[in-house]
Order: sequence, then structure tokens, then C-alpha cells
Amino acid sequence: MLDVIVGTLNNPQAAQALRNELHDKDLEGTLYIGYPVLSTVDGSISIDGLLCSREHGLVAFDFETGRPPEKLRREQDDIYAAIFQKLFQSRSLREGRGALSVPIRVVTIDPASEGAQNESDVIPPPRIFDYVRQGDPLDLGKLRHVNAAIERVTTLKPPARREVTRADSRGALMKQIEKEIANLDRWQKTAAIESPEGPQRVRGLAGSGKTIVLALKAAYLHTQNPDWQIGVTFHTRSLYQQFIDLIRRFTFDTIRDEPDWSQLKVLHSWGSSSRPGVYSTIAMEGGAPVRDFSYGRHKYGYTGAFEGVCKELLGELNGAAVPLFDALLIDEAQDLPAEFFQLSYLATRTPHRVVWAYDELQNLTRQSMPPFRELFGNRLDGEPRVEHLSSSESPRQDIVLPVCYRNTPWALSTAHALGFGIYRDGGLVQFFDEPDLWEDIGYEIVAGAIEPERHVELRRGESSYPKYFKELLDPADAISTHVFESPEAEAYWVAEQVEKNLSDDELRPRDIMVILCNALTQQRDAAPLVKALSERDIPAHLAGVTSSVDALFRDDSVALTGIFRAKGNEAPMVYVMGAQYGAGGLELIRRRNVLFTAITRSRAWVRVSGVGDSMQRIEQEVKRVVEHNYSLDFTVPSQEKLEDLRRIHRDRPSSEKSQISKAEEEFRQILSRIEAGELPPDIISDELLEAVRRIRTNFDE
Amino acid sequence: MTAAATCREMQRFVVYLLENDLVVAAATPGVKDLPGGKRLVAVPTRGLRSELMGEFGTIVEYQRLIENGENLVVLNDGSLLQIQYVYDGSDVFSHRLAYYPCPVTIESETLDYVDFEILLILGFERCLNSFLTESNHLVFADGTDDVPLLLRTPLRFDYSCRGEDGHSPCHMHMNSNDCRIPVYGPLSLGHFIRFVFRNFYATIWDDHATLREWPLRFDKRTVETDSCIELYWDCRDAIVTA
Repeated sequence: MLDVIVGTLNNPQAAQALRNELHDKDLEGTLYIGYPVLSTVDGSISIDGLLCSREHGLVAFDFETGRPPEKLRREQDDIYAAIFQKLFQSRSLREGRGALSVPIRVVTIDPASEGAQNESDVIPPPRIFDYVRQGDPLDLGKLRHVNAAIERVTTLKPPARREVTRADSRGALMKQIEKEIANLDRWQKTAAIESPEGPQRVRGLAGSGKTIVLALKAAYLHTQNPDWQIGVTFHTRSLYQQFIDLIRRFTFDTIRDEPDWSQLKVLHSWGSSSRPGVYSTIAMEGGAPVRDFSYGRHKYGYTGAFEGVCKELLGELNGAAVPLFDALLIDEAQDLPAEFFQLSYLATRTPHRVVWAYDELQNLTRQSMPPFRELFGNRLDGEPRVEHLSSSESPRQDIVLPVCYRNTPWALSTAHALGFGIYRDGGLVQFFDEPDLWEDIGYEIVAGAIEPERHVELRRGESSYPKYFKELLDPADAISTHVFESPEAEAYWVAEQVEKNLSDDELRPRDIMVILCNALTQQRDAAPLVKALSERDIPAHLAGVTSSVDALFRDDSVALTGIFRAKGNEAPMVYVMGAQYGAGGLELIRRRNVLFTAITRSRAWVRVSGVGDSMQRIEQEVKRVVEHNYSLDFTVPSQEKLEDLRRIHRDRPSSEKSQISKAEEEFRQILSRIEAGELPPDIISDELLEAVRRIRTNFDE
Repeated sequence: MTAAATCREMQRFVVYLLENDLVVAAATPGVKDLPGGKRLVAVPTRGLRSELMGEFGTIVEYQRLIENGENLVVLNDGSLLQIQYVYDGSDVFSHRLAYYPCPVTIESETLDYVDFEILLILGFERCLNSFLTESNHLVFADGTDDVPLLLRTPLRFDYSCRGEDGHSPCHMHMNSNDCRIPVYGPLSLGHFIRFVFRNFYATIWDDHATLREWPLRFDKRTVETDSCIELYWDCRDAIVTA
């Protein structure tokens, strides 16, 4: 099929004519409109249209009309030269020292033309396909190289060199995996290039490339519209440097120049007077007080601080626009309050190009992202500011990135199974509000239907993960569980495995991440492992206080981390220790989210370990995933059941948790005293004993 | 004492602190061979070592030390302990033992599930902002009255067997790099641990016999006789009676 990617429309009529002429011609490849933007000695050139098809090769379309023939020819030559230069960078497309193995044709589309002229190719729209099909076919390999060259994604940093001596070591496998990610996939292309006149939502699983896509989009918009004020914002401070680096590399790749940072601003969502952010800039420009974190925390509590100050600012502005940006790109949208989006709407000029990207299932709860109709608030007439997001017409306003590049399909299915409690003895822990989401995030229905109280079986679709996982990795090795009798035994085993990873497996210390599930006890939990690693002369560090996401990893030391620092990071080999934490207890939704987040940090292999009976329960659930061939087989809960789940397994305030812990401790003390003979056994009434028995039986069932 | 033995001792110290919840972050050292047959015992870092960083005793330097990750531990109040030794065979060739108190107050109840760094960074920004706008009076524009900024100097015990012109081979820096208070001689890990916890963490000192009883080792005395008439840091392995 022909992917159509619509970027900046300089000539909408010509673009539409081009699409119309090519759309039902059974071509396989990509048609870009308003992309790529290429650098030349005299500046940058935006290619009006570019067709890369298997059947007929590469054709560049120029939409400008009314030029004298010499100028037209010269400008067609410029287009040719720019594309030639771009493709020539790719070794696999060169032929000898000065030629390409792929012909490039350039044609101008002019409705008023008489037809193709020999000197310079100018054709009317009805002749577009006739012109195109004169080209020779490209084999799939060459087509792939052409696409890669056109879409060449410079990574944040080139993968560090790996010293491997064996082709089958884990190090060698990672080397291959790292080489594979060069092309943007179809959805990423769409998300990066297509820019509608209005809001745009980009959703995807963690690991689907959203940050890279947003950075590409920022660079693309900036090079296409250098006089626009563009903002890129996010929640996690550590993304700041990542965005700066990515945007710089992508911009340089396009126009061979540094971005104009006065027009393209990378800003934290909050900011302060020493470092502007989106909120603080809007407040200053709007003549409102700029509130900092301490103020927010005192007034609204830790978790509500940003929401509170944004709400205050909305009150101060009272709907007044503070037009600062022509486009505002928001990453990690799931971590930002709706009030921030309403401020973003007021801060962007009509048509309010707010692009927001978020992880579906960052924490498995749908409440984290309100529907877009609620997100941006209402107009004065009470109607939602954003009523509809088109996902079918280009440029698309609603884009899902369904391919997860980070996690293997087996690890991801297992993470979902554990996160939701699909195979848990006590039943589900949580579930989506919107059943469609399963398919949006890459699951296929194998049996049944995703309808309340109906049975369904879901499996990761083949198109939801890159092929190299299946080609290079083995499911049973990708994720495994391990139960131990004590934390020391667990630590000893992990240290042994890490030692093997660093020697036989040819992995490096920075390829390994150990995640400690319980944030409250992570220091204590780390101690036995640090000791066991020290005995093997393996330096390790428990990450705590850093301000850069890169800072988690070090070249010569293995990273241990709690779940909060682990978020946003990834590693080829991940050890999830103390996983019994997620087996049961209060706030089970949060505990299961921890397991989900921890497992999905892994780029290739994950080892889930823990202690005791509780860990055995986790192991049992994972075994069921394997028995079902990594599919999720369950009954969809009713709405009522869903609300029950939320109520039972929700986060609870500290006071309630203390109360429950205290009651549990008092009960434990009574039992100890009975066992010690200090109290008679019948001090606990039959009624109470029977109730406990009943609860336990129901749970086991 | 050798580099390997010191490395193991430092590892033991880190494990003890972790087991007893006395740190927010920690790193174990390794031994690295240096030119000329010497061996460095230090935590692997991400970037340049602190000798090449900002001015001693500045908030910026504190932040860089955190980002560079060359600290052995970060204590629960945000203070840093930086420990590294260089050995020439079984002799201490040089050392760097630093206690870097945290310049802002971290309230312990906010450490539950909290990104510690956010508190530090926002604390710094808030303090810097207020300090600049209200030059002599630490009152914050938003009306809150807590004063988290602390005026405390780092303490760094440096030793180099080669000594520097006019300075004692072992000395302590406080307030500025130019301040070099002579110290009797190269310090053992035990001396440093006991010094920090005894003088700055009274509750921990009282509660942890292991720290109180951390073994001391007495190395050669390197303080010059003519320095002894001035105030300096001394330490002896026996009570000397007059």
C-alpha cells in the first residue's frame, strides 16, 4: 500500500491533485507531501512531493508554477541536487564515486501546462501517473535504503561500541538490535511530519518512540516555519537535555545549521524565574504571580502542587489568551494536569497547534488522561474547545504508535498480565475504561470479544513489534521468574548472573539495571546485592540524587535503582528484585503498576525474582501467561465490577494506611500471645474465626 | 594496608549504611591501575573528577558533585561523603576525604516516593531566587517563612605524600581552597567515618556502635615540627602524658 504522509502544505490544491492521481494505483511505498526539507549551499529546500515506490522508483514533484523555463530548470536541478546529496550519504545507494544506484526524476506539476516538454518536465495533474510509471522498479532492499536515507533518524548518540568476540553472545545480539533501528515506521513518520491546523494527539506504548517523534516534529516545524515560536515541553526535568540534543541533531541533519533557539524553545512545564518554563512564562506574560514548588506544596500538597498553581493561573487569566506560541509540543502528557492543557490552549495562537504525546499504560490507569474534550476546557458558550480529533484524514489529528521497540512482545504481555492481574488467583486488579484501547496498543483478538462480561483472548499482533525480536531472541530467555527462600539467596543469585552477564555474555555494566520494587525499603533491599557484587569485585551504585536521565548508568558500575528513578530508563538486561511486593496487600493497583513499569524497562531480557510464598504467586501468574502462549485470556469485567476494583485496590491516604497497619499489628500480637500460651485460644470468637476462614476460602477460589 | 584492602573496607562501610537506611544513594568503589604502578580506590564516575570542577564550597560545586556521581554515599539529609585513596604499594600516596553538607534542608516526610533531586533542585532555585532578590533578608516573595538555605562549609581532608610548597602534606580545607589547616598525617577511613558521625550526626553516632568502633589505623606523622606551634588537627594512637 501507499503510505501518504502530509507535512506542510504550500500548495494544497496541487498536493490534493497528486494524492488523487496516485491513491488507487496499487503502489507500494511512501508519498511525502511537504517533506523532506533538505539543505543546500543557498539554504534549505522543502520538497513539495516525493514518491518512493517499489514499482516506479523515486520521483520528486515541484508545485511552483509561472516561472520562466531557465529558472524552472535551474530549480528542478536544485531539487535533484539536494535529493542526490541526501541519498549519496548512504553507502548502500552509491555506485562508484559519483553516482547513485537509484535514478531520481524531478517533475513540475502545473495544471496550465501543455504536457511534458523535453527540456524541462512539466505536466498537468492528469498525466502524473503516466509520468510516474515510466520509472523502473526498485527492489525491496533498495526501497528500504532509500526510505532510510530520506528519513534518516540520527539517534541521541551513536550506540557505544561493543566489544564482542562471539556472534551468539548477548552483547552481539544487542549490537544487532541496535543497528536495526534506523527507519521510522509508518506511524512514526505520520506523527513526526503531519501537522494539522489544530490540536494533535500522539499516543503509544512506552518504547514506541514518542520523544524522538516529537523532537523530529519540532525540528521539522522549525525548519519549515523559521519565524514560528515553537515550544517543546515535558514533565521530567531530565528530558531537557535529551530534547536539546535530539532537536539539534535533527535540525542540523536537515539544514546543516543550529536551530534558532530564540524561536524554538525547550521548556520545562513549570519553570522558575531562573529557568523559564511554560507555566512561569504564561504567568509572567499574563501579569500573574509566578508560584514555585514550595508554594504549591504548602497550599495544595505534594501531588496536587502543579495542578493547584495552574488552576490559580487560569483563574487569574479568566479565559484571556496569552498568545506565546505558534505550536506547543508536550511530551509525557499523562503526568500533567488538565489545567496545564487549558493554559497551553490559551498560550497558543489560533488554530491552537497543541501536540500532546503520552504513554498509554504508563501506569495502567485510564484516569491519568482525561478525554480531550475535557482536557482543554470549554469555550464561553460552554462547548468543549476541542470537540473532535480526526484520525483518518491527513494531516491526522489522532495518531497511535502501536509498535513497541523497547520491549519484547513476551515481556510486554507478561507485564500487562501482571499489571492487570489477568491470571491472579484473586481476579483482576484493574482494567481499562475504554475497551478499544487493547487494539490501539497492538493486541489482536484471538477469540471472543472485548465486551463487558464476555470472554476474550488477546495476543500481541505481529505488526506491534519489530521483527528482530522474533529473529534474535527466545521467549523463554526474554523473561523468566525465580523464587528464593531469602533476600540473601536472591541477591547471591542476581550477583552470580550479573557476573556472567559481564563475562560470558559480553554485556557492559551500563547494559544492566537492577530494579528494587519497594521504594520505601530500597536502600536496605540493595545492601545484600551490593555486598554480593562487591565480593565479586563488581562496582555498583544505588542511584538517588541526579538530575539527568543518563546519569543512572555508568560505564564501570552496575546501576541499582528504585522504581521512580527507573522510569524513563531502559536497559538490555533488567533484574526486577523483590517482586513479591506486587503479589498482594494494600494499594494493589500501585504495586502492580510497579511490576509493570519495572518489567517494561527491559530492551531484551528481564529476570523477575523475589522471596517466599508471595513470589510463588507471582511466578504462578507468569507461568499461566506462558501456558497461554503469551496471550491474555480473561472475562471482561462489568462497569460495576470495575468500580469495585478501583475502590478496593486504590491508593489510600497515609492516615488510613497507618490505621490498617496498626490493626494488623495488634492482631498479630494477639496471635503471638496465644501461641506463646499467654492468652487462651478461645479469646478469638468463633464468629471472627469463621469470617477469616470464609475470606481466605473466597480468596483462594 | 593495600588498595584492595581499603576498597573492601569502603565496600563494607557502604553496605552497612545501606543495611541501616542511613543513605539515599550509594556507590561501591573499585580499584583502578594508574601510571607508575599506583592504584586508585574510588567510585567510578560519569565525568570529570571534581578537581576540575567549580569553586570549593559553592552550591554549584555541590550540584556538580551529585551529577558527576563520584560520591561514595549521599546521606539522608543530602550530605555527601567523598572518599578516594591512591596507593603506591602498601603506602598511601594520596587521599581525598570530603564531607559535603547539603546546602538546603530536606524535610524527611517528603522523601516518601519522592524524587529527591527535584527537592534539591527546586530548593536551590528557590533559595537562589530569594537570595538574589532579597539580598540581606531570606524572606520569600510568596510569603512562606521557612528558611531552608543552610550556610555550612564542606570539609575536605587532602593528603599527598609529595606535599605542596609551604603546605603540610595532609591538611583540611574549609571555606576555601586556600585554607589548609595542617593535619597530623594521612587518615584512615575509620578516622574520617568517626569524625563525621561523631561531630555532625549525634543520634546516628549514639545508635550505631559499628560506626563508633570502626577500626582506626595510624599512619606515619607528616606534620612538620614548625607547624606544631600553630593550631592544627592532631591524632595519636596512645595517650601521651606530659
